[in-house]
Amino acid sequence: MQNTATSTVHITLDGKPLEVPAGISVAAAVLGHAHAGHTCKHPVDGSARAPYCLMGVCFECLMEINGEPNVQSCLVTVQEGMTVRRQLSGESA
Amino acid sequence: MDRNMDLIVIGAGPAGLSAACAARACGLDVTLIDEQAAPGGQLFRNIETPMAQAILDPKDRETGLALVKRFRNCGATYYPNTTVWGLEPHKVSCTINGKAEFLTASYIVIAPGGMERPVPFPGWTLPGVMGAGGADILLRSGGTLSADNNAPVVLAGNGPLLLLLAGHLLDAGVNIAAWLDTGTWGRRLQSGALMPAGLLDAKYMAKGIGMALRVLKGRVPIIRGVTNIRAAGTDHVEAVSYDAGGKTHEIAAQTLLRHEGIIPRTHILNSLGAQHAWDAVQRYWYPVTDEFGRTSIDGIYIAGDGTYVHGGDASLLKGTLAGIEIARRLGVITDAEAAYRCAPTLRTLRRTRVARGFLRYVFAPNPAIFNVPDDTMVCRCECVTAGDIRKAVSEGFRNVNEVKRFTRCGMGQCQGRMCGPALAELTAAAQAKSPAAVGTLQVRQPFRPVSLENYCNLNAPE
Amino acid sequence: MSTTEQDIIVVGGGVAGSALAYGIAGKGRKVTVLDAPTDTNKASRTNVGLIWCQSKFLHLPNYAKWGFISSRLFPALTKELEETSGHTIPVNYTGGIIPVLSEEEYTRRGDYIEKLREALGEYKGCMIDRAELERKLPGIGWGPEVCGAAWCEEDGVIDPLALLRAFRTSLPRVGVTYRQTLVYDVQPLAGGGYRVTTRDGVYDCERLVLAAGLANRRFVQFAMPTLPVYPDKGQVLLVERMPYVMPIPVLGVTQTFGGTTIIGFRHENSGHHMQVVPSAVATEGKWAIRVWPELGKKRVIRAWAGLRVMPEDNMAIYSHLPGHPNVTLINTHSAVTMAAAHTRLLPDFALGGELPETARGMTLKRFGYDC
Repeated sequence: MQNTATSTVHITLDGKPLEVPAGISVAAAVLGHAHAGHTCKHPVDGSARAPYCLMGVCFECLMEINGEPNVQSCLVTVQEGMTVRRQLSGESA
Repeated sequence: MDRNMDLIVIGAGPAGLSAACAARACGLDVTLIDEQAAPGGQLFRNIETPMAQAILDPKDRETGLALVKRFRNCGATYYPNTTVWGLEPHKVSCTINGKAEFLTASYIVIAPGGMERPVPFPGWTLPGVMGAGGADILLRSGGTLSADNNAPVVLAGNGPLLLLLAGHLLDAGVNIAAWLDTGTWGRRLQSGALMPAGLLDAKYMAKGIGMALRVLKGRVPIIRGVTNIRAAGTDHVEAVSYDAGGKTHEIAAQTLLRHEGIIPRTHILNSLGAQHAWDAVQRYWYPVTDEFGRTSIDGIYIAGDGTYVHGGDASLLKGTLAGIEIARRLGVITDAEAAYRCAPTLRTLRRTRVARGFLRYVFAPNPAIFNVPDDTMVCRCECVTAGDIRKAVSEGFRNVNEVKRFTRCGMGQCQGRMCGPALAELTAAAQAKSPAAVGTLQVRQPFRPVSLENYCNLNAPE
Repeated sequence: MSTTEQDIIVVGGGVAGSALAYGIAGKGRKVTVLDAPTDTNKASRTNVGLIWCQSKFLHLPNYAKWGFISSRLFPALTKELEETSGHTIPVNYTGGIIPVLSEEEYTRRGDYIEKLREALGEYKGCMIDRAELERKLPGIGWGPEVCGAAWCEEDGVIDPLALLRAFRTSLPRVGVTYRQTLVYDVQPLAGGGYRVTTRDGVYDCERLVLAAGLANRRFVQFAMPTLPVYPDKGQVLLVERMPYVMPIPVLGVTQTFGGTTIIGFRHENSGHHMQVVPSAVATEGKWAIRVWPELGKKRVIRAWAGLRVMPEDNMAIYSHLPGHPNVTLINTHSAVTMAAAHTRLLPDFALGGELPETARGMTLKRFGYDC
């Protein structure tokens, strides 16, 4: 699918609707469009964390996507109707 | 999937795409697997979309679009959105559309590319602190660094990517509050001697000078000789402090982007025990290969910045050579034809390598960047500090794998991708040794997480 | 190369060698440990950390007893090591559980336990039904096939790397000299004593302890051509961190103190083959999902293999070498479980004394050697 960037998809982040360009990663949507700040509370020390690399290296972007926890969200492309939750309980799901 | 292919290529960056194209041009059966949704890798990420095209300079845009188009039409089987988590000679374990699969082939080319050298510093786990590469990905995804585009951004580090990013940020109207330069000027002067070689690469040089001029015109305050970078804030970075000119300074910032150069991604080859060598100037491990990317593991080749960081244009050339060489080794083309097909690419690659030799020195990482305070968190996954590492070394644990086991540094989900270089530097520094003398971190498969169910159903079907 | 005169040398600094060295130092003797760097087979680095006495060695009752003896000595040892080393050692003396997946297995395990109780005279364990299992570990959603478990209150689990680190850190503090080097050769000296040739020099000593695991197969050759010990390969899968719900360890699917779970109980005789064989380890993964279905959706984050040090009859070897009463050999597949017994009860033997009564049958005599 080429040159479809003008199209957008609708996802929900923590229950709130969000419209983002098609073809980008969930992490980029949450950080660069929703400006969510942090995406998880770290299960070991409870600190707020956010994606560092956005390319699959750092494992700091783990979020719950369509009910599945601990997904590397920088490696998942946004899809219409996708449900995304930040992992804010500080527990390892 | 029990069909044996000629070649599986892993990675759809410049090297992977060109390897697939070159092998297809020789008539091979090729499958390319990539974890992104569209071809391009990091350099040409999202290149088929206008938002990413808008960011790239015209030359790169043209090269990238042509390559991706060539790949789309080359006849290779393409699995995007596919995670490779296991690999052995002739066999790849991956998850395609949520289902675990084996793919088998006579040869495998891995094109993992490079990654930013992760350098820990106090506060680097705070949201708002990112790698420069990560920030660039946000921009190419049509996003912004902050909700408020005027929020101050600090750049820190050393390396050409930082120049490129600064250009992209200035184009986007971002407020760059400071550029903290951590490079060593001694190294840069040393590289002067190699400058004539650099002139072989006039286009690349011109591009670099062009980027630098834009930063100067953008009136970005550049501070040299910076050490002791720290990010402060609660739940988000609020200020950045640093030492320069014998004093400590602090600036308000909502984003801090750190970049200390690109290193090869060696995870897959490390998990196979492939032979690597240490570059004492660039301070990284790179796989030992021949000019065509043949590794020490039978049937496995590597192409692109994963072999050694020469940049995207060189990656294209390396991929082409690997693709042709595999056709030769399969006996599909003769030695003579392979030599004929490789000749122009090989010539250009050799010239590029010589020319880039001086960049190795210009942007050499300053070893002092790893001299971080004891309370700095080095391992982000397991929350292990520099002090924990130094203490273990003082107790007699001298090898990175020993320090890892007894501190948990590198034992988390990322398997040392983020802390490995710092772990080696700190372990070595505490013994006044070179990182080359303290071992390489052992990587285990699966090198990406895979659900237990998927792993077991694939490997032990009923 | 320099030659250094030593009183007692322990070759091998894993859990077994460290325990013995620590214990010997406690007798007021000067000990030097020679330990190989990390890139050699090291069983102590691949351990799950179970302190496990239950449901085994009916055919070797003294060996079964030996495990219980060690388990009882453990709390005092870990307390002492924590004080000496300054490191915390995560450990649970909470008993241990073997889940069973069929009535038939339940009965079989129950019978075995009753026979063990008879053979040992005392056995603090029994079969428990599913309801009792749920009470003991309420945080685990057991699979529908799980009908109960074998339970023993004298089992436990320890962080094996924390134990080893505490030993290692304590050694210099109790006067042991620790040297990381490669041991190339061990030979008797003409006038008595032994010479250990290493990468970094030659060490001469009066008494020698060989605690080098599988490498003992090389080092004993001056006294005997073959050692009845073989590599027993284990392989495990590591599953991502989950909330800590398993204070009582479950055999074969054991949650670590950090929250990750280690799956696997394989025994394979495949020489020194160290690669993980996914098709092998996946069968245990499937078993683990039947025990604890929640694991199925969790992620495997790595797999590894290790080589146990397995005497041919599965019992430990504590012995002098034939014709060499000043050389003590220790080879065991249970260096963690037996660590407390090794520390407290073996040093006298290494110094020329007798083995404790329970361990008298564990010398090489049982293999026909005169020692």
